[in-house]
Amino acid sequence: MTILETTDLTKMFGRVKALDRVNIEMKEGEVYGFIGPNGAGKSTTLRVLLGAIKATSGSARIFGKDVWKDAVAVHRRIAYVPGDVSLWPNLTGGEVIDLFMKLHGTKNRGRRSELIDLFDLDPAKKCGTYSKGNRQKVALIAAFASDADLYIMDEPTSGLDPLMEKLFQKQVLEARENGKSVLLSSHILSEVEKLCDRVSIIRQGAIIETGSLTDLRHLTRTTLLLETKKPPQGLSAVKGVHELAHKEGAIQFQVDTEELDHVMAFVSAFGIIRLESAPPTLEDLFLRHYETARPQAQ
Amino acid sequence: MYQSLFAQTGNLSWFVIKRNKLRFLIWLLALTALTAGTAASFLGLYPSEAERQALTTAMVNPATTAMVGRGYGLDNYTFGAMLGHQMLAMTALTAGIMNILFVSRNTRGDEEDGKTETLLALPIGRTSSLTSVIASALLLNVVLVLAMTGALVMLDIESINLEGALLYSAAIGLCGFFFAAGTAFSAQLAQGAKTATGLAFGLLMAAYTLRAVGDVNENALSWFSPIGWAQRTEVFVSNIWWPLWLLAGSSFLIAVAALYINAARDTGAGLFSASKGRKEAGFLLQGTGGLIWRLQRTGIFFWTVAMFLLGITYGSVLTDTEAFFESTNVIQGVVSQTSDLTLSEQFLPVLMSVMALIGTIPVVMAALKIKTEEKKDRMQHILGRSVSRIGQLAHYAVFSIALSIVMMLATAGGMALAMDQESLSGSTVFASAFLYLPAFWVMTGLAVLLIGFFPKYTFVIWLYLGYSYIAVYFGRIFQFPDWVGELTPFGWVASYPVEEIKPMPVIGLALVSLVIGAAGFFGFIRRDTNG
Repeated sequence: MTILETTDLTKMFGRVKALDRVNIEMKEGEVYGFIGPNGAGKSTTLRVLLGAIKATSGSARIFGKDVWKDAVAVHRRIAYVPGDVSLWPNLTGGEVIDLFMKLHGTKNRGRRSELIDLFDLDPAKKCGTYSKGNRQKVALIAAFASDADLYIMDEPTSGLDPLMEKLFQKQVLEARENGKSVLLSSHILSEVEKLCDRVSIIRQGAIIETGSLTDLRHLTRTTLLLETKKPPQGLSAVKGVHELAHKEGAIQFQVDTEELDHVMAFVSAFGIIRLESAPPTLEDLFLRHYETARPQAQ
Repeated sequence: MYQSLFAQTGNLSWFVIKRNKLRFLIWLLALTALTAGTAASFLGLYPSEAERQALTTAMVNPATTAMVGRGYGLDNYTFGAMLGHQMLAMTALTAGIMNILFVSRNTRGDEEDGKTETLLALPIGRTSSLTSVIASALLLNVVLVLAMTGALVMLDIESINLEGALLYSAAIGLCGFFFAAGTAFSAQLAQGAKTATGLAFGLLMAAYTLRAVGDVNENALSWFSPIGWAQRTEVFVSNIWWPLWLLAGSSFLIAVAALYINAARDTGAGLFSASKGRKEAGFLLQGTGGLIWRLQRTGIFFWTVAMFLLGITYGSVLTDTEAFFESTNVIQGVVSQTSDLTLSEQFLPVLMSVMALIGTIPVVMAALKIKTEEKKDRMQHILGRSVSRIGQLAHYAVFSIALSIVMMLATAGGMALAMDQESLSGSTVFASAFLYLPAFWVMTGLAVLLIGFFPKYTFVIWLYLGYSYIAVYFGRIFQFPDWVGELTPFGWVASYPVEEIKPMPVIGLALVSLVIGAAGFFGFIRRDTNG
């Protein structure tokens, strides 16, 4: 069942096109990654989904309801964690968590104290004295303690230490096990790789790739380190071979995943002594897209 | 030593000035225009010496003394003497407000936002940031002195010569700088920007009140107030310069003390540090309304007390005034003789208009608070949960309206308590106070309108309030044309009991507030929110 759907979502800020026909379709029970460089439009998309800003054209629906017109009804079933959590300096963390849960309409004292213990937060301290990571924890605890069907999180682990990051990931996976859905915007690829069933890559306000990680890996290149008996003459001219470089007597190059078969056939004729392959990572995919994003820079 | 404390202060000062140039310009223009405009209006209002002299009988009574200060040079009440007597304290007070707002914004305000820390990471001295703000404040006041002196001299009024103009402006500029230094000091004590600003405004209120009480009772209390020192110059009459040294010296000492604490303390810390709080929300903090109350309760408490005290002060001054006129028999020419109203009743509308305009400040602030929440990215926490935009804005508007009632209750309560019931009944005081409520609501409506359509330009409401103050307060003194007063809601309020209560203005103001408020809601539910 589709839980969140945007159709040709476009947002103009004056003359600047911040979002350009963004299409997202998220299914129930899915952890959906939303990745892209800074300023690509991740937060803008999330703010449209929250009904904070109004789409110039296109539509966005969550639980089948319009995110702008039915914002309150939608918000009853979602929990949102902003990327940069700013809180009231003279309220304590505990007070803020309670207020947030109250405004959401959740009463779950057990879950609240469990999460406060888990994330190791001192709820008696004033928010003004919290570090960025601690403010982030307040928002995360309030979100995970709220009874929501969809969690929308904008770079939620920024400022958290690695231990807390792990805890966060565990909470996300637990939420998925309980049939909840999570929309996770991030630029931390390892996090997205660990958590997400599907991802969309956004660049300059437009979605450029969408699919499962396996789907996307087909678009990536495998990095090979090769040592042969005879020098592999003409390898650089073979279709699908990129970035060829000599390294400590061996040759390192990248191969388009779909051309792997015939490249292997080609090199085996030279007598393979050593062959190491690094699996394609999202990182590569990411970097390739970013590089093509700035062709004029070179 | 110098490097470690003050490196790059010059560069930082320019940076401070650059960031605040528009604000500086508006303040400088407003203060200079106010001064020159007042002086120029005297020429038209009291062209003959006889008229000026007649004014002295009206200007010398406890009520006026409490407001503007003790009269001097009364045997030859020249234009200069009039300006020094009637305007010096008020202008010094305004200059004080300017300096407090500027310094608190650029010290604790920046520190709270983490801007100071970003700067401190650069190769600058420990106190360079604070020094640059103090230096900029000094420059601001110097420019103010020059501008006001120039404007006054250019008017070419006989009794207002260069020496007098310079002394008058310098007294005001130094008074302003005194409060700049005072704010720099209070910013070292308190941990939050709001507390620091509150302390500084408390200092200003204390200075003004000490002077008022000291002047009315003719005792030494005025000598504990920087505004009192400024008035001891008897500018344009005796031109006494030495009180300026008191102002300059004490400002310097306070500034040095502020710098000393600043160099010694941790960034972000204060003398009064934040204590631990509750682990869980109390029963009041249960929703938007509870949050608004929680964030504003301290401010509300202090404003209520301040308005109550103001009411008591004016009430007792009115009682004194009544006694004063009874004993001196100078009633002719001051207030209309044909009236069967008591003196207090005739003075009441003027005092009430001043108190109402002051009471509007917290009311407008309460409504505008929602914009601060948006600007500081905290509104998304509320609107991102099950709270509608209309509900959110309505809470702030209702809170602002409730506050208007509280403010006027406190004011009228204080006044009625201190009044002699025979000359002025409590019910008259309360009626006169509550007549202002529809005008308050127009201001609330305007705040909502700005929040709904022009959230970046909410400062316009303060300019409008400033205009209202000039139109209503000075309009009475200088007899501005009618339309000047009619451009502000406060100009439409009946001067009860001097005028009768007419239903039309009341209904009209209430309707206007309703219409612009509703328009504001319409804008707010349609526009993009920013955080």
